[in-house]
Amino acid sequence: MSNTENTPDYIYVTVIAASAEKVWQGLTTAEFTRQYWHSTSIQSDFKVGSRVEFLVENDEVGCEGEVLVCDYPKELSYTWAFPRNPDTRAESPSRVTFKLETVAGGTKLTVVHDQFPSGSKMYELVSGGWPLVISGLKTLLETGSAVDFSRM
Amino acid sequence: MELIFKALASPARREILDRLYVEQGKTLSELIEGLDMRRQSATRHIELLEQAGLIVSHWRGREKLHYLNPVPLEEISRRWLDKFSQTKVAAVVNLKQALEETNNE
Repeated sequence: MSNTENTPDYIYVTVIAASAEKVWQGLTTAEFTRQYWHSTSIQSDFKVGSRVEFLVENDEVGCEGEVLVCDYPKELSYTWAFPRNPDTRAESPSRVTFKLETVAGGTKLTVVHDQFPSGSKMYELVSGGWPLVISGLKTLLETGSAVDFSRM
Repeated sequence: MELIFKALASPARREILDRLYVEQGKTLSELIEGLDMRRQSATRHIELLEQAGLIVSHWRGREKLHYLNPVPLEEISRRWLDKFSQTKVAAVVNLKQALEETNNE
């Protein structure tokens, strides 16, 4: 984990053959997220200071956070916490930032996850998760087919 | 796609990725510490890894920090694994039908 506030802990990049508006929709609407983001439904009005919740079965809240930046369709940032998980319950939130840039061939999506507290369990939890989520979003937007997470 | 396989074809470049897998956000000096690799050749390896999308960088002042980006690898595995899983599903479905037909006879 980084000890400098402005140093990312993780950076993930992909280019998705879709408009920035479409990628934004993929990141912010439940109809999309439940198809590729571990079957969770994102809920938020995406106003700075508003809550972001990832609903799992029975509409219980999984991960959650608070909107820090919302600049449609270029940048979205929110805090990231998982109080329902005993391992991460006591941790202070980290931060996720999505940057969308129009490039040749579509939209370049950069995901930065940083500001983990020292000794963070969440740091370990997300390391394998983001590549799956990001490539799941890419597959969904480019082919229109959902990813079957039941086999993973 | 060719770039990814070309990037992965070199043991030196795989070593660089292994090091970033253990710890993200390393500088060039940290990356080659203890390795039998000159700065200049490490720079070339990193350029190729960046072109393949396997390394992304972040500037902290004048320092360039390197990060492993496994998303292209996930896309490659998905490209073939999904097809295999569909084939497996089809095979199981066929087997089930065949067994049920046999039972009904």
